[in-house]
Amino acid sequence: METAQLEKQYSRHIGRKHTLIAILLILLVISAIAGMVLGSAEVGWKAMVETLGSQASAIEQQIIVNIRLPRILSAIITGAALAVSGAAMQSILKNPLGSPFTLGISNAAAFGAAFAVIILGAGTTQSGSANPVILNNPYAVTASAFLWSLVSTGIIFLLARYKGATPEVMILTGIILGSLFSAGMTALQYFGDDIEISTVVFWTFGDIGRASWRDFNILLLVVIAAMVIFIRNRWNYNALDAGDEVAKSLGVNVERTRLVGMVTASLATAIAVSFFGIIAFVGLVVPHIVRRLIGGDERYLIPASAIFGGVFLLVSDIVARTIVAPVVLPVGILTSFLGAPLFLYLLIKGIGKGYW
Amino acid sequence: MKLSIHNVTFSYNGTPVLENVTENIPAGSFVAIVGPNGSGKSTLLRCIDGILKPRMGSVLLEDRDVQDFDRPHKARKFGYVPQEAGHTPPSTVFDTVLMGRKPYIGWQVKQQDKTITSRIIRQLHLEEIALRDVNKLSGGQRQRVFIARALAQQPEVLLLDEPTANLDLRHQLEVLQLLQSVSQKQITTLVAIHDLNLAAQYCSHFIMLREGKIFSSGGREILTRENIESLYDIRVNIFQADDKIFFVPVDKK
Ligand SMILES: Nc1ncnc2c1ncn2[C@@H]1O[C@H](COP(=O)(O)OP(=O)(O)O)[C@@H](O)[C@H]1O
Ligand SMILES: [Mg+2]
Repeated sequence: METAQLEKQYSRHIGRKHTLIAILLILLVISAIAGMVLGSAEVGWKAMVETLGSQASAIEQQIIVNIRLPRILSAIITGAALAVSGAAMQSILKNPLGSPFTLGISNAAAFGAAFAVIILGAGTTQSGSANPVILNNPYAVTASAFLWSLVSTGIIFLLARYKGATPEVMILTGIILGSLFSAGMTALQYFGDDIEISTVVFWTFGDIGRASWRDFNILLLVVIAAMVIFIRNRWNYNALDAGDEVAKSLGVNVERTRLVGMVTASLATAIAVSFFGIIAFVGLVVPHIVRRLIGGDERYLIPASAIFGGVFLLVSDIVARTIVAPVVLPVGILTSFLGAPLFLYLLIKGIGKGYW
Repeated sequence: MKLSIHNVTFSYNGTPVLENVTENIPAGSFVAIVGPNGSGKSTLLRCIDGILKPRMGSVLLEDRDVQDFDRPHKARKFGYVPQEAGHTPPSTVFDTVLMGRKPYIGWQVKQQDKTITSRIIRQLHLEEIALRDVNKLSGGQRQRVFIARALAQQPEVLLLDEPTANLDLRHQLEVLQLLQSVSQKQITTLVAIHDLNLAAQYCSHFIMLREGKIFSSGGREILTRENIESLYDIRVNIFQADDKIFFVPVDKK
C-alpha cells in the first residue's frame, strides 16, 4: 500500500468523525429553534420570524427575547460546560465515574447556597407555587455557592499537589468532600426555619428558568475559556490515555496537565451550578454516549461532548417546560430521571466492551 | 548520538534501587541491559528517559545534560517503549503512531506528521491493520505499533523495556532484527532483555546490572560463564556454534 493511499484511508476515517460532529451541530440548531417555538405560551413560527425582524407584538417579543432566548442559550452553554467538564475529568482521571458531580462539586455548591440562605439570611421573603424561590439576595446565594465549590476544588488541588496528582487521590478526595458537604448541608438545615429550608431545597433543583442575559454572559465567558483550555490540551489528554509513563516520555507534564484540567472542569461546573442549581448526570452520561458514537480521541470527544451536552440539556429543558404544561418542571429533576438509568445501561454495556 | 550515564543514583521512597551507575555508550550502539528481576533495569531506562528523575548523577546526550532539555525537546531525542502497555482506551494503529508526533505538534497536526506516521507504519508492515483498534491486535503486532510510536518521535536514543517478553520465537527475532536495523541508522538503542542468547546474537554492547549496580559492562567479551553464573547465581553451560554463543542454565548455585 502506498503512503498516499494510507493517508487517504485515514482521512476517510477522520471524515466520518467530522460528519458526526456536523450532524450534532445540526441537531443543536433544530432543538434551539424548537425551543423558541415550544412552551407554555403559544409563540408561533410567524412571531419568531417577526421578532427576528423586530415586527412581532410587544408581548411575543418579550417572551422570545427576554425569556426563551436567554433560557435556550443558557441551556446550551450549561449543557456544554457540564458535558465537556465531565469528558475531560473522565479522561484525566481515567475513570468512568469522573465527573464534577461525583467529585463533590455540586454538593459544595449546594452547601454554599444553604449557607447563604440560612446563615447569611439571603433567603426567601415570600413563597409561591409559580416561582417558589424568591431570594432577596440572589447574588449572595450564587456567590456563596461558587465560593464553596472553589473551596472544594481548592482542597482537591492542594491535596493532589501535596500527595501527588494521581487519579486515585483526586477521586477519593472528591468523594469524601462530597459527603462532608452533604453532611454540612443537613446540619445547616437543622438550624433553618421552614421557609429557609424550602428555599434551599428549591435552589438545589437545577433550573435553567433562572437564566437572565447577565448570567448568560458570565457563563459564556467562562465556558469559552474552559473550552480553549480543553482543546489546547487535547493531545495531552490523548497522551494520558496511553498511560502516564508514555505521556511523560512524549514530553507531557503529567501532573500539571491533570491539575489544570481538573481545576478548569471544576470552575466551569461550579459557575453553572451556582447559577442554576444541581443538574445531575449531564456531565456523566453525555461523555459516555459521545464516546460510544465518536470514540475516545480527545480531538473529537471534546467538541462533540460540548455540542451534544448542549443538545441534551436543551431538549431536556424543552421537555421539562412542556411535559406537564402549564407547570414548568425544573430540568434537574428530568436529567436525574433520564440520566440514572441511562448511565446504568451504558455502564453495563460498557463493561463487556472493556471500555475502561 | 553518544549517550553518557554518569553516576546515576535513584531510590523509591528511600529504598536505593540504582547506585552510581556510570556508562558511556557510543552512538549507534545496540545495548542489552541484563540482570535478575528487580536489579533495576526498568528503573535505569526510566531514568535515562527522564520519566524518573535521578536523585544524583546525570544523563548526558552529546555532553549536554538531559535535565536541561525542555520536555518536548527531550521527547524529540528519546523514544520509550514501556514493558506492558496494559489496556488503553480504543485507538487505531494510525492514531497511536501519530501520537509519537506529540512533541512536534503545536496547535494542529501538520501534513508532515501524517507523512512520517504513514512512512513508519509502512516500514513496520502495519499498513494492513492501520485502522484497527490497538487493543485488538496480537502481542507481536502491538509491540510493533508501540515501537512505531517511539520511532515517530524521530528519536536519537530508543529505550525499550523487555520488548520481546510475551512474543513467540519468530516475533522475538523480528523485533530484534528491526531494532538492530534501527541502531544501524545511528539511533542508539537500549533494551532491557532476559534472553541472553538473543541478546548475544544481536546486541553490540552489554550492561549487566545487579542490585542496582553495574556488575560488568562492555562488548560480547563480557559474556563469560563466570560473569553470568555470578550475575544470576546459577550454573550455566556454554555452547558455541557458527560464531554464536548459547547459554543453557543447568542449576541453581
Ligand atoms: N514504583 C515503585 N515503587 C517502589 N519500588 C519500586 C517501584 N518500581 C520498582 N521498584 C523496586 O525497584 C527495584 C528495581 O525494579 P525494576 O527497575 O523494575 O527492576 P527490573 O526491571 O530489573 O526487574 C525492585 O526492587 C522493585 O521492587
Ligand atoms: Mg523491569
